[in-house]
Amino acid sequence: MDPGILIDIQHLHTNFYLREGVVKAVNGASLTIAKGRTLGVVGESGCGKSVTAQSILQIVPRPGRIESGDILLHIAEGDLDETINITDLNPGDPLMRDIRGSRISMIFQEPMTSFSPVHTVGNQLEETIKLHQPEHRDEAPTRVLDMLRRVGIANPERNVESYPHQLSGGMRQRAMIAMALMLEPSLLIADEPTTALDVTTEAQILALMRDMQSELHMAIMFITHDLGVIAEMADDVVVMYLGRVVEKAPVRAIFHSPKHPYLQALLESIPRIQKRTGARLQAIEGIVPNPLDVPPGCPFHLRCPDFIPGVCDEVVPADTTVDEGHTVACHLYTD
Amino acid sequence: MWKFLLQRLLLFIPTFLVISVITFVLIQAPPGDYISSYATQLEASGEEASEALLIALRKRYGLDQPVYVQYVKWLWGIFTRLDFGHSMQWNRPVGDLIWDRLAWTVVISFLTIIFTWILAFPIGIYSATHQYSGFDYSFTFLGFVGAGIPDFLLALVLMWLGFAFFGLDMGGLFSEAFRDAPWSWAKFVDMLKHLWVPVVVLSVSSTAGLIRTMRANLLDELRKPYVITARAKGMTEWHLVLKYPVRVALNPFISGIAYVLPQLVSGTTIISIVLSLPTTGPVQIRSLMSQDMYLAGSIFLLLASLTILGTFISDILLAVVDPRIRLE
Ligand SMILES: Nc1ncnc2c1ncn2[C@@H]1O[C@H](COP(=O)(O)OP(=O)(O)OP(=O)(O)O)[C@@H](O)[C@H]1O
Ligand SMILES: [Mg+2]
Repeated sequence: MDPGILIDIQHLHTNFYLREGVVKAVNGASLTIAKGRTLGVVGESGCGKSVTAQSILQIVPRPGRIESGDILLHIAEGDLDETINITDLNPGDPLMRDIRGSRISMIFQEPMTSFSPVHTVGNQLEETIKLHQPEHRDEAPTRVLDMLRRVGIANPERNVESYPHQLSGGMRQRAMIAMALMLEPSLLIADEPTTALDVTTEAQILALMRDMQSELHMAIMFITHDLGVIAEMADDVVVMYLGRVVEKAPVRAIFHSPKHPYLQALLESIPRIQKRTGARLQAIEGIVPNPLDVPPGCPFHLRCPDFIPGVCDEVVPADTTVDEGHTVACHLYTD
Repeated sequence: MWKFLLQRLLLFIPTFLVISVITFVLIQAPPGDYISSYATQLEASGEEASEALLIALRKRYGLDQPVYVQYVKWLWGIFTRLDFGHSMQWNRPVGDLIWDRLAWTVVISFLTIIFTWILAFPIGIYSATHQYSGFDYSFTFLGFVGAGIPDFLLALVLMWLGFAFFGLDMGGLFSEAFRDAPWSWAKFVDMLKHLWVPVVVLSVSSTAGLIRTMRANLLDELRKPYVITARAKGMTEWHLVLKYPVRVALNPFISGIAYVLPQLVSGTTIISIVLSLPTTGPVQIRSLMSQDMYLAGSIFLLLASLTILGTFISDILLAVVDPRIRLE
């Protein structure tokens, strides 16, 4: 594996087994996350962004399950240099629990409901240390105070004693970030971390994440609907559609030479989105097909302006490299 | 927090007064005053109602005085001397009759609550975390059966089984030999041998209900994002379920304690008659039938006070466990 790569996902399939049928939430997605860089993940609601993230941590809720594929995690620390295939582990495997919260941690959209309402912020932050470094449990309170200070929470001595409902939305998200970074993970997964915040607070949280990233040299997987936020945060970008990755490229190429008709349509809809900040990406004609009944061929062919009959509705397009580090899964670019 | 508790405590006083008024109205409800019905009762049984006793009683309760004075005197007697009045039927002070029974009522109700919780919480938690498993389905089925069986029937069946197979008399709280004996270890053991029957019988339907509620509450909580957060931290499944969602799912039970008590107390009445237990229920029914209104009224007043007390306790507990309430 390329030493610069932290996470390498290959042909991941994660399904939900519902009474009405099987939802292929992630349907053969492949992507890589480079060490110390930010990977932006964009796509319409329901395209499988969150489930991909949950798969990395093996916390896909029932009745969902990783069906097949590889999620390789590269650990290089001092003399240690090994690659773990996460899909080989059980969700309850002790090694998997070791990885969660210490090597890979996650923050969520709703900082209010993502904390337990009946435990203090301090209690919930210290827990990470107590779980992963029980030998350092005595230092936990001081380390929590220190981390709260680093993420810009004023008066940490008082705020550790607070309950989540006593903090403002922005403060809660800062506390959530502090909790995730407590053990200096090599990957922070942020699943729409600013969607629930107002614009000013959003800008502050984004700045905080960039600061913490350069301090801790961690990679970030940044999930969002907002192409504006992607432009600001991401180094590399993957575009997802119906459980598949349809385009990956460095952030410049995404905005300057988008290839996939879906991405092109998304970019054209930007001005409209900016007027209603935070609105979900729904500016493209047609609707996402029912995930229980995915069409054959390219998942986007029903809405595609460049639809090629007999090809797009029959063959799933393979990844084609169009430039260095820029691939697209579309029949327009296969030769 | 203290303000909250003080508010609740202050609310206690008017509530008690309202209940005592209702109780007093209840006592005065039958036509005629109670001394005259008492005299009629004595004469009907062929005895002579002694004029001296009647006058003493009239004076004691101030029956020649206006109703509100009587009320104040009754309440004053309760507050200053714990004097709840005189029972016509037993010709004894009400206090002598009810303290023991009240204690047994509280003991049996309390044990039933504890037993219900010990049974219902683990089963409810397991059912929710293993939704749609064989275990979950079995207990759903058993729960419906348990909720459907009338408890007096269950009591009768248990009594019959005990008698038919073990030659045991399960009625009452003590065997013949210990009934009037002073307290001893042997008597205590004998009591336990009897006590489990009403506790089990009374627990069955409430356990069934509680399992359903616990399961539903916990299923709701298990879907909350904070559970995912805890999982993403690397906690083991049992650790996180017990620390977070179970803790939150318990809140409704704590606030429900107050309502468990009156339900149980009225629930024990039939069982107490079937199993001849020395609780307040049977005495209350008889006193109502014979219009022994001071006795009936006092039992009512005490049970109602216990319920207010229960409300107060569950308010305190809820404030202790739920910071969202405590820090309002
Ligand atoms: N717990 C679940 N049970 C059943 N289906 C689920 C569950 N979670 C996700 N799915 C399904 O998996 C698909 C992908 O969902 P996912 O949450 O990954 O979308 P997303 O890209 O994160 O969308 P959003 O932008 O709305 O968060 C959807 O079709 C969704 O219905
Ligand atoms: Mg999502």
